Amino acid sequence: MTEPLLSVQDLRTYFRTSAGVARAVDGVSFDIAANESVGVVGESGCGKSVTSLSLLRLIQRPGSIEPGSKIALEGTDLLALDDEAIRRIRGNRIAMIFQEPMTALNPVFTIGAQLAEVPRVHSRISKRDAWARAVEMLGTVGIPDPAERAKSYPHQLSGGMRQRVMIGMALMLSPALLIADEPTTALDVTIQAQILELLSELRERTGMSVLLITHDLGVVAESTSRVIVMYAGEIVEQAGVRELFAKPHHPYTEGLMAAMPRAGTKRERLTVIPGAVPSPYDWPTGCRFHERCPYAWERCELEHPPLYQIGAGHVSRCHLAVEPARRNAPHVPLAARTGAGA
Amino acid sequence: MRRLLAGRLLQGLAVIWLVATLTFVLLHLAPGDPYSYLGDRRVDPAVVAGWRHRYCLDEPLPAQYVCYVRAVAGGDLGYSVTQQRPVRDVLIEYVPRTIELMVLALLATFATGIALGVVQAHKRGTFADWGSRGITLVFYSMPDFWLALMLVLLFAYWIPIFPISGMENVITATSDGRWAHAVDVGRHLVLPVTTLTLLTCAAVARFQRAAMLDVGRLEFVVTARAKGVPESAITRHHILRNALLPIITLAGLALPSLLGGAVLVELVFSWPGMGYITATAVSSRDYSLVMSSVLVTSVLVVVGTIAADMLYAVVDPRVRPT
Amino acid sequence: MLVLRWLSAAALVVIICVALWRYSHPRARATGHRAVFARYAAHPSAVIALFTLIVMYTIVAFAPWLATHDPIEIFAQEFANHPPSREFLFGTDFAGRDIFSRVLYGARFSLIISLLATAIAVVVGTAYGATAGFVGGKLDTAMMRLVDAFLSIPRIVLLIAVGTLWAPLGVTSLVLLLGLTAWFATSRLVRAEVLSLRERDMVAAARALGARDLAIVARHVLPNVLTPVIVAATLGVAGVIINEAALSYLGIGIPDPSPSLGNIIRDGSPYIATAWWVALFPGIALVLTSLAYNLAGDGLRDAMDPRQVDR
Repeated sequence: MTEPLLSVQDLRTYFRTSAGVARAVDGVSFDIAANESVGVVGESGCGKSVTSLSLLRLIQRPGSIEPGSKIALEGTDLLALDDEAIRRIRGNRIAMIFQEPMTALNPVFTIGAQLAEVPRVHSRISKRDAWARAVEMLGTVGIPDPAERAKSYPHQLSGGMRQRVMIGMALMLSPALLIADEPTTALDVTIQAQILELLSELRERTGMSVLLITHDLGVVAESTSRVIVMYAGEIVEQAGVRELFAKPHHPYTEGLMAAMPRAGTKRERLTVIPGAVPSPYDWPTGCRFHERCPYAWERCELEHPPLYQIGAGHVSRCHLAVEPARRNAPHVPLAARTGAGA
Repeated sequence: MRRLLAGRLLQGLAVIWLVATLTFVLLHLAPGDPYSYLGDRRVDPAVVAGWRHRYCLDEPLPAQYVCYVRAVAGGDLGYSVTQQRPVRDVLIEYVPRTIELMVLALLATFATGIALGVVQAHKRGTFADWGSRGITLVFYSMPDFWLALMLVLLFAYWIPIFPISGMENVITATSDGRWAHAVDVGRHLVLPVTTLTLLTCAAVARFQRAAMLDVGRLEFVVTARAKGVPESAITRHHILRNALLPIITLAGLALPSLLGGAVLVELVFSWPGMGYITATAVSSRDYSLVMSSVLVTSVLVVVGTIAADMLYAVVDPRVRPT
Repeated sequence: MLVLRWLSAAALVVIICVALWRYSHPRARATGHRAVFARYAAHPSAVIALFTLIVMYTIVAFAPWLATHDPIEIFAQEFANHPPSREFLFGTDFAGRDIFSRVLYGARFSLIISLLATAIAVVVGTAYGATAGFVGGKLDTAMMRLVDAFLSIPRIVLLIAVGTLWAPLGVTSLVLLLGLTAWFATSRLVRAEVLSLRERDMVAAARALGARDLAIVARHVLPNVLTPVIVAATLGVAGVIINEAALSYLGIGIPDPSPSLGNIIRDGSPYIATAWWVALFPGIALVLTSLAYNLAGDGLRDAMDPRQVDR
C-alpha cells in the first residue's frame, strides 16, 4: 500500500468571533492517492470550502486550524511548516482554482502577467521565459490565439475562458494536487462540460490528483472516482463513485440524490430535505443530521455516530449501519414537524 | 482615449463658464462696482473712466455680460486697484508661486497619506493603527491658520530652524549663487508645506486604509496567495495597484481643499502667492482681484480634475473605451 | 461664588450624561432609534466626542454666568499681553482684555452660528438635491453642473469673495453666507439617494395608488435620505466652525470688539512670539469642537449603517 499523496487527519478549523466559536470543520480525515480524482459534495455551509482552504493554510483571522490536526503531503506535515515553506508549496506542489474567475483574477493585470507570475515567484526565471511559458499554457488549456490573448485583461474574456485561464495558472508548475473549489458553478452547462473535459484531459496527461469540491452531484458522477459527502463540518459518507450512486447509505446522501432533478422521471414536485443546515456556532447534539432525518430515533439525538464501515472503501456516519431495521420505518423528520428552519 | 479627453474638456469648459457667470452675477449684485472703491489712492478720474468704458460698466446688463465674457476669454481680468496694474500681470507673477507650494504639498500629502493608509490597513486593530488615526484626525480638525501660527511659534521662534515668513531671503536671492537661492527658498517652503500636509494627510490616509481593506477582501488576493506569491508582494503589487485607483479620484477631489488651505497658510507665512494677494485684497475692496482669484482657482481645480480622470483611465484598464 | 456656578454646570452635565447612558442601555433589546443610539454608544471615541460636545454646549449656554470677566472690558494698559494668571486664567490680549472670558463668549458665538448655518445648508441642499434627483433629465444635469461649478471653487475663496463684496457683514449675513456655501456636497448626496430610491418598487407602488409626486417625495423618499444627510450634517458643522473662524481671522467676520474664536486668534497673531497664549487657547477650543464633531459624525455613520463590516 503506497503512501497517499495527501493525508488529512482530524482536521479542525474553528472561527472564533464575538458571536462564539464556529466549528466550520470539525474532525475531517481523508486521504488522496496519487493520480486520483476525489469529489467533495455538500450543501453550502457544510465546511467543504473551509476544508480546501485549510489544506493550503489560506484561512485568515478569525479562523484558525486547531492543534491536533494533521495535513501531510507525501509525509511532510504542512501544518508544521513555517510561512516561507508553505508559500513554496502553494501554486507549486498544490494548486487551487476558485469558483468565480471574474473576481478571482486581478482586474488590472493582463492574464499573461498573472500566468507568468507563478513561475516567477517560485524560481529565478526571466520575464521573457515566464511569458513564453504563459503563452504555451494558454494554448494547452484551449485558448485560441494565445500570444495575442495573453495581452488582454480578465474583463475582456468570457466566463469559460477565464476559468480556463485559472486552470492554466494553477498548472504552470505541474502540481501534484489540484484543488478545484466549485470550478463550474458559475458557468453555463455547456461550458461546464468543456471545463470538466479539460480537467480530466490534463489529469491524464500530467498524472496529477484532483480534489473537486462541488454541491452538484452530477459533476461528481462524471469526473471523480471517489466521493466524500460532508455535512455540518464532518464527513458523513465516503465511497467509490459507482458504489455511492448505486447504494447510498447515509440518509443525507439519499436526500441529496433524491433532490437532484432528473430528466425522464415523472415527478410533480422536487423532493427536498426539510429544515436547513444548522449553524456552525451550534451544531446539534448527537447525530448532526437527526432533526432532518426521516429515520432518526432516540439514539440519534443522544449518541454522535462514528464512521461505520459499510463495505469495501465505503463508510457512513449513521447508526443505521448497526440497526438497519430502522430504515423500514421512515417518518416525518423533526424539522418538518416543528417547522424549524427555512 | 481621445474621446474621453474631449468629453472631459467640454465639461470643464462648461464649469468654467458657469463660474465666470457666477462671478459676474456676484459683482453685479454687490454694492458699487469694481472701480468705485478706491480708498485713499489717487487715481486720475480720466483713467477710471477709461476702465469703466473698457469693461462696459455703464451699459445695460446683457451687454455688460457679453463684454465680461469676452474679456475673460481673452485673458483680460480687469485692473487691480491695490496693485496698480492689470490683474493678469498680478496673477502671472503670483500664481506660479502658489502652484509651487501646491504641487509640493500635494506630493507630500499623498505620499504620507498613502504610506500611512497602507501601514494602518496592514496593522489593523493594533495601537499603531488607531493611534495614528487619532493623531491624524486631530491635525485634520485644526484650523489651517492656527496650525500655521503654532508651527511658526515652535519652529521659527522657539526653535529657530526655519525662517518665519516670506519666500526668500532678499540678500541670498540677489547676491548668492543659484544653488544657495534654491536652498533658501526650499527652507522657506518647509513650514507652509508641512502645515498643508499635516492638515490633509488624515483624509488621504483614511481613504487609503479603507481602500486597502476593501481590496484585501477580494477574491484575487486569495488567488495570489494560493499561487504562492509572498505576502509583501501581494500587498505591494496586487492590493496597492487596485487600491490606488480611488486615490486618484481623491486627488481630483482634494484639489479645492488644498487650494483653499493655501490662502490662509500663505497669509500667515507671507508666502507671496495668489492666496496671499487675495487675502490682502479683502480689506481694500479690490473686487477685480478677488473675483479673478475665484476664477483662477476654479480653473486650476477643473484642470486638476481632468488630469485625475485621465490618469484613472490610464491605470484602470476597465475604464478605457475599447 | 464662581466656583459654585461651575460646579452646578458640571452637575448639569453629569445629569445629562447619565440620562443618555440609561437611554442607550435599556433593559429590553433596543429597536429603532434606540438601537442606533446603542450602537453609537459602543464606540468609545464617539462617546467621548458626545461628552465633549455636551460639556461645551452647557458651558457656552451659561457663558454670561460662568465667565470670570466681561469679555469686552478693557483693563488697564499695564495688564496688556499678560500671561495666564489667577486673575486672568488664559492671560490678556494686547488691549488688556481677559482671554478666558473672550474665549467663552467667542465659543458661544461660533458654536451657535455654525449650528444655524448648517441647518440652512441641510435644508437647501436636501431640497435642491431631491428636486434634481426626482425631476431628472436635462434640468437635473443643469442643476448638477451648477453644483459642480460651486464645488470647483475652494470654499474659503468663495467666502472671501462674497465677504469682500458685501463687507462689513452682520450676524445674519454671516450665517446666511456660511450656510449658503455649505450645501453643495449635501445636494449631491441627496440626489444620489433619490435617484436610487426612485427606481425602487415602493415609489412605483405609491404612484400606482395615485399619490402625487410631492407626497411621494415627502413620505417615502425623504426618510431614507435622512441617514446620510445626518452624518454629512454632523461632519459639516465641523467645517463651518473652521470656516467661520477663518473669516473672522481675515477680518470679514463679526467686527470688534465682539469676540469670535477667529478674531481672538487674529488679535494674538502679531504678538505670537511674545504673547502666544492669546492665539493658543481659542485654537484649542476650535480643535476640540471640530474634533468632537468629526468623531461624532464617524460614530453616527457606523451606528446608522447596519451593514458595517468590522473595521
